[in-house]
Amino acid sequence: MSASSQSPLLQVHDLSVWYPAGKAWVKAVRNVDFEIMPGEIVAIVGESGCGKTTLASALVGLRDWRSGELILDGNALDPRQAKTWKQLRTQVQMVFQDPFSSLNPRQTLSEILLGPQRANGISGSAAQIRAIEALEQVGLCATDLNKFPHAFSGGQRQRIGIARALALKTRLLVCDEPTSALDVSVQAQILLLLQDLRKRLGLSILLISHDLAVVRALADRVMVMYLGSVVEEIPAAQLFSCARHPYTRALLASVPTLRIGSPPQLLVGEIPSLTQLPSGCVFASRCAIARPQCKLAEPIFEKVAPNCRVRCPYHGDLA
Amino acid sequence: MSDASLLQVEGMSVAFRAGSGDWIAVTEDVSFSIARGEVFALVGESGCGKSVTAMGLVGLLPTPGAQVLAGRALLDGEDLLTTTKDRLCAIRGHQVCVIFQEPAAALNPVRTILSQLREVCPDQERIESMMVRAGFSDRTRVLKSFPHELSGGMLQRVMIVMALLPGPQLLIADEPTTALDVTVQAQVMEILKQMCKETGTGLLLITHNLGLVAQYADRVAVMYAGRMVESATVAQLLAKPCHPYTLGLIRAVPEGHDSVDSLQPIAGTVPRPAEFDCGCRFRNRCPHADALCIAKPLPQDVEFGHVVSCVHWRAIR
Amino acid sequence: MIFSAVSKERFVRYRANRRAWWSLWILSIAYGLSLLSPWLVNDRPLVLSFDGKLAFPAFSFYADRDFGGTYGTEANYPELLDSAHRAQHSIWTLNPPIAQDPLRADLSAAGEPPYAPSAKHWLGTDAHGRDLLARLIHGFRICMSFSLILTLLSTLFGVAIGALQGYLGGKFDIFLQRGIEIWASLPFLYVVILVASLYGHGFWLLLGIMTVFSWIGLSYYMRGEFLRLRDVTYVRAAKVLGFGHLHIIFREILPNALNPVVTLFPFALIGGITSLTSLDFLGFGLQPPTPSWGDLMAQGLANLFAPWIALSTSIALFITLLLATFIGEGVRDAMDPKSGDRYE
Repeated sequence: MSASSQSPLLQVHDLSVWYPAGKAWVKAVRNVDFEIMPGEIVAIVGESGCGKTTLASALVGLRDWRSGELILDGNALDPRQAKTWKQLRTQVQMVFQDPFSSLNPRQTLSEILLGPQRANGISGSAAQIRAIEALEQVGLCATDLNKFPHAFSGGQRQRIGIARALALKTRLLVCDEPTSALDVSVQAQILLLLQDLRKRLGLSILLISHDLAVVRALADRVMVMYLGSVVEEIPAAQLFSCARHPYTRALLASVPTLRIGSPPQLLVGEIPSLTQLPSGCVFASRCAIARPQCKLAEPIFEKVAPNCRVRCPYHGDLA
Repeated sequence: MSDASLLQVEGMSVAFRAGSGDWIAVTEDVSFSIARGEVFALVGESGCGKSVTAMGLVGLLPTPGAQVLAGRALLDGEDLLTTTKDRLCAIRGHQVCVIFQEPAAALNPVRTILSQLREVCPDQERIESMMVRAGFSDRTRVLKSFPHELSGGMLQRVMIVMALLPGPQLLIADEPTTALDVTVQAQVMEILKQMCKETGTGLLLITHNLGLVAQYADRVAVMYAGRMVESATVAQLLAKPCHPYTLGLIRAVPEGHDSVDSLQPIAGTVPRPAEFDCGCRFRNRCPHADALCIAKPLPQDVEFGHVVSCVHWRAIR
Repeated sequence: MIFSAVSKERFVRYRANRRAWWSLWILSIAYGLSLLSPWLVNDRPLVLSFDGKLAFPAFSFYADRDFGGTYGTEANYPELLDSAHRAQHSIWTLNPPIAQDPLRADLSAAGEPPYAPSAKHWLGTDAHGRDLLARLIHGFRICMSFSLILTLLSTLFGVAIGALQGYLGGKFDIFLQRGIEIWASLPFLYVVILVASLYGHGFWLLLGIMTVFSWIGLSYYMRGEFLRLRDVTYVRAAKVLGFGHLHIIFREILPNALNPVVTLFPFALIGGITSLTSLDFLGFGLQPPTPSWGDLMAQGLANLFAPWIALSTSIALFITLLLATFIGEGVRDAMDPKSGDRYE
């Protein structure tokens, strides 16, 4: 389980990512704080437009930060400088959603695993050893090194993507919907692999997903995002039983379960545009318990229980 | 079957032409029936042949590399698989309609929604009343919009309207909500089911999501590697699955698991069509497999309405 | 160099197309042989024995004086052979397969050139009395070489500029694109005529001017490919993995962006051949008396009563372009995975 007495591996304060759209700004991520401990699995859930993918991209340097502080192992780093990201390459890596386009079809596995190491200063036999080790850690073998990606299935390609990050001895793996493009039976294999890597290597994992059941089974802690800000933070074990924010409850209620007789409940309204955010609480337009006060000011993200924070002062009203 | 049967498919097999020029059977001996106004789900993972079966029914297989090898598909007594191309053309869009996974790709980007709906049905009143039933509170604005101005969920609801305007007897929905968020999915599926019930249209729902099957379907058939391995009512399938693959599929769903440690993935991978053989195609991944599984498993009745193609179904039950 | 499985598959598909495969062989061998034409199609004997002395006229220069003549210029070998017998020198030669010089006018026959096909001139002569077959073969060599070099250079420029545009995008792309559009709207033919009349009709000058205009088409395709591939997942992954821009351009994107290059190559080749032939036909191309098909076409048109000129040149041009077209179609079919009805 998560180690709570250690210091955090990565801390992020007040992260905002905006990108230009004509004259306006799309405020994709707004003032997000979070931290992750070594060996912890944190999940970020939300639907399209909530900013979870943008957040993940920002954490690996693919998107520019409009504001925010980054602290790795207690050392503050400037996210605007290229050398920060150079340093972070071997610490934070990403696994992408689509296994069929995340590997260059013209490169052998050998090149896929050795290339990034070369780009980060590791070469020769040390790199070779790391590559074989990484392959074995994900359940593939050294004889696969001279094959091309098209010889592998979706699940295997996803493993190769993970191995590529492991070869760099990464400590935080940002997984952007790693199992969405895979079949359910293969999904379970990848989830077990991630769990296994956490146990054996002490790997921290930031899991981006829209599948709440996956999140509950794999993650230690869950952050729910809506329209660019975090609306709830809760331990995964309590997600289905004690969720407090109206959006989280609505999300949980929409999932079609295998239990016949408990049909999904609909969330009314349309999601507002990111270029024209409503004033006050961004969820007020669709919220079942919205009051006039909700449109006046954005609620603060406050702690309501150990390890639980909610951005809704009236969450107690929900049955 | 009974005369409430809208569509009756018997022994349907589809083949694709491989690079060498030979025909490879992608699905084999698929049989099922859909009653009027019923929601029938065809469930399976990628490569099992569910989309191919549905497309084969309405003559939408890619030509010239695919063909229906054998079987009958009786829609109100008329065999869709042997009828003429012209007749199929007339059936499509009138008696049988299809909605696909990507609504944005199915709509013309340079024409308004209204003009595209008018193409299907010139009656303005009917269009408007259907739009209301599809949950559009601001239907005038939506009708005047272009596809790129609407979200994925809205577009899929427009597609549902477009498909139901001609008053078809059967609606085929091929993974209609896979590309949508879960809250939007709930809305779209609810509307789909409701509108089909209201108009008495049968719905053939193709999906890999067991949750959708549980919530929206009346009956379900599970496909694996080109064959139908189990078919039953949804209640029967979820309560007492009899095929090892169905059981594996249900167990692999993360719902209800506190930890991934209790997840049980199905070992191995799905065989490719070139590797299909006559015996049970699941035997390499099945914990119950033995020498009997080398022969082709025949469909057996578990109880009324529940059929399974496995020699060992009793043990699984 | 490791060829990926994708490339191997395409090669196999190409080879399976017998028409394209044979066209490639025929054209390649024909071009290869034509490269040897200075030695194989010439009136200079390969080996000459004059009064017991051995000489190799095809490979080195021998003056008229060396064979008992009075001039210091190169010996005229056909005359030498004729006169040697009369002057009682012993002479023995090993001639090239086609012993005709494309540049030497042979006015020995009766009447005015062009002379009809005969035992001496297998396809007849052109309007100046020069052997037609020799001119066709040398013309083929010059034409194909010109076109090949032109295509290679324009591919290089087109790829480089298109890649930069697509990869960098933004304002750089927009400004450069507008610049290219202005450049593309210049009337290419007039520029060629202008430059050629100012600076002469050299092979390399002509090549230079044409290169400067012909890379534009390919750059459009490469720009499109790079714009598309810039956002593909494995390129984003490469950025996260720490690869620099140069690596991403050359090792990640470029190998996957070469579809248009390979597909367009044969057709660009055809374009080059046609351009040069057209220019020569109009008189704005290579300097006469360089053997060229365009020049022969012009002569053929002017001398329709001597149909062997127009006929043989047209047939030669037709066959060459036909073979190149078959190759191009074969490449296009091999590259396109959805061409036809195969389930992969």
